[in-house]
Amino acid sequence: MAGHPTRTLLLAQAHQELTALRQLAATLAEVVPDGEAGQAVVDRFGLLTDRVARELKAVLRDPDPGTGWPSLNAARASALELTREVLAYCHGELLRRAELDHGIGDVAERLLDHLTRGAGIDRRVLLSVAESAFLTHTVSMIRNRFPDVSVWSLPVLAHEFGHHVASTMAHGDPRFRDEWRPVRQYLSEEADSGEGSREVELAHLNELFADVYATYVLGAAYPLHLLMLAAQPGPGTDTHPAWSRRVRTVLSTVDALGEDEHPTAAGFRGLSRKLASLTRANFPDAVGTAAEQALAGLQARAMIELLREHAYARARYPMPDRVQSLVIDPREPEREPVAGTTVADVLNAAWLWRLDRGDGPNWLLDEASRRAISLSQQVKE
Amino acid sequence: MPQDAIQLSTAAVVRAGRALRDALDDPERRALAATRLAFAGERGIGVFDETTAQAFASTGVPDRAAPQAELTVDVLAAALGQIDVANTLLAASTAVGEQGAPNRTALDQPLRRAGRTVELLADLNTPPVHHFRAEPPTSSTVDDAMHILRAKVTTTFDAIVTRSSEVVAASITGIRDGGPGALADGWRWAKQNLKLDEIGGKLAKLGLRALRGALRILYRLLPSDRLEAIQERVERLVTTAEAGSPALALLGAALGADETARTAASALDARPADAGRLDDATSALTALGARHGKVMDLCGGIATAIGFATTLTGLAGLGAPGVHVIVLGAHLGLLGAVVVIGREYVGRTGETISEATR
Repeated sequence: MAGHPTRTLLLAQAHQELTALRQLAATLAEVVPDGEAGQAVVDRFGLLTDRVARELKAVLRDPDPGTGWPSLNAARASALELTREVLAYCHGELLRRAELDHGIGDVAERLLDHLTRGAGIDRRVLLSVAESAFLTHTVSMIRNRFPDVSVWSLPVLAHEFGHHVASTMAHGDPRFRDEWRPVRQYLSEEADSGEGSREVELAHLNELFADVYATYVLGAAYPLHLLMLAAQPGPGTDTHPAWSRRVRTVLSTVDALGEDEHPTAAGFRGLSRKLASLTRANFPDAVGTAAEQALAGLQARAMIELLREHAYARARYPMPDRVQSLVIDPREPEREPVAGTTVADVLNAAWLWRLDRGDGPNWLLDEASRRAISLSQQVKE
Repeated sequence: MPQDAIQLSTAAVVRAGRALRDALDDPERRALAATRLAFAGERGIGVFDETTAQAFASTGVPDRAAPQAELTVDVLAAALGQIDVANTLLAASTAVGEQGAPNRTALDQPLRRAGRTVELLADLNTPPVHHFRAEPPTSSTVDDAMHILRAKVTTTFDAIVTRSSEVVAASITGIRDGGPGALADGWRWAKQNLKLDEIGGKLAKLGLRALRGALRILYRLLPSDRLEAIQERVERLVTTAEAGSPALALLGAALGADETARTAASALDARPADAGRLDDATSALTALGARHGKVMDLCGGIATAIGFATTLTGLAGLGAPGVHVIVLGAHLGLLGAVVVIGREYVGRTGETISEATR
């Protein structure tokens, strides 16, 4: 194809993309923290960067305009996605380094590490910030909501991590093939039993699984966050079920966790009573009809069963007594967390304190949040 | 045959069965869970039909002279998965009380069994252990190699006959429990299209459908042109066996082991002079014995599952004669399969010796 009029353009543009890609990798290397944690980020992005670089080099080696332009455009699309993720990561890391996040990024990292260990997943997620919380699968990066720098919304991270668990958790028995993804398989089967569009039902079930997961691993903190700071009346969307259904499923999860013979069951039974009364008072839509309750109960139990079977035993929040010893009230003297305290304990202590004393005033909640952040930074896991 | 598909659909039935067991005390949840289980069962039967049809279509199994080893494992694994699906559905019928009073514990044992079957199917998919290097026997003299091979030939024939006899004993007990005329009743399965669609509630109907599917595939392991000869061998085994356990000598004859062992011994008596080939034959027989053991594990699982189906159909209130015939037919089909498979492995053992001594 030598002499084809667009060959020169193709070569120039492929070169330009490759240069930009190298610049992206250099920027990332400048921003990541020192040590193993930073290296892990470089490695994760490096896999994708190398893949795009290989695509571009293939175009440079064989600059046939017939095949080269589609290949270049495909590589550009990958590079664009990668650039977005690198920028998001840098965004979060620089905000944290400048201490503009008031320490919440550090606590969030600790929480995600805690959840990763419990889930038995090797590949940890990366953390950044955005205007709302979500997970992207490109490099498995969770965005924490900015500028919310309090601990009150941190339980959402467990929900987002639940999406990661749903897509990556392997079978608990190593004899099963690596390709087995029991949660995904269950969600897909269950979506077939729904009455509406399968695609919408599958999206809803993914959200419900993330809610069940967050309740399973965080105990009181997630349902309380959901009921007090997230739930609102109204129908669902194509991507998210109505809040009433989500709350119902979370309540069913707590009920189910209170029914088994696990040592934590009594704790979940106590929580169930508190949540039932809170729901009746503030969000009666969530109670639902007998059929709606049955569906929530069935799905919540099936999802719990998956976690019991395939996540590590320690993933289930232990509802420990040590939560009582954490002093969240900023008007009382701070006490060092006892040995064994986790970030999840601090979140539970904070939310249970908030539930017990009623909401507001804002200054007190802000102070309590700072206390919780400080306690979270002191725990050693 | 994609065992993964069978394993996935069996796992889905187990999951739905567990959900139903946990929902038995709550009428609304129980009804939903029963619908989910029926759905999973229906899909499992569909996957089974599709995958087995594909497997046979791609290999032309029904008309071939002898089953291929890997396909045999696939077919047996599929049949085992399907019988456990059937048993779960039949037990669910009893648990929810489709034909009588609900029985809260009816699902416990079938679910445990089906769970183990899913694990067994996973085991079949597990890649072999990768050793740093292979360690075949390396005999220094022809005499050593001959000595080792003779011992291996004896243990291989013994193992094939013994492992087969364990499965045969279990199935013969099941047939004897069928009472007089059981043999004739059982073979009716292969020759008639029994109408069972009107028996039982929704879950029981599905269970019987799954059971029939499993049987159909089991019978496809029996080459159609040799069905009468197989029938005769099986009947001789059943009628002459004492106390439910056939004499090993009788089974050895049915599998053709005695004659092949004599031929092999004569070939070895001719004293071939290549130690390497004799060692290779020893390795081949070790592998052959292990494969036969794996296949008999599956057959043993099927025999137990069929026995279990007998109990479950009774508990589910499915006393119709057709149901009785299905279970007997399953036992006979399995016996036939054990004989066909045993003869194949015996034949391969003979071939291995023949090649080593050529």
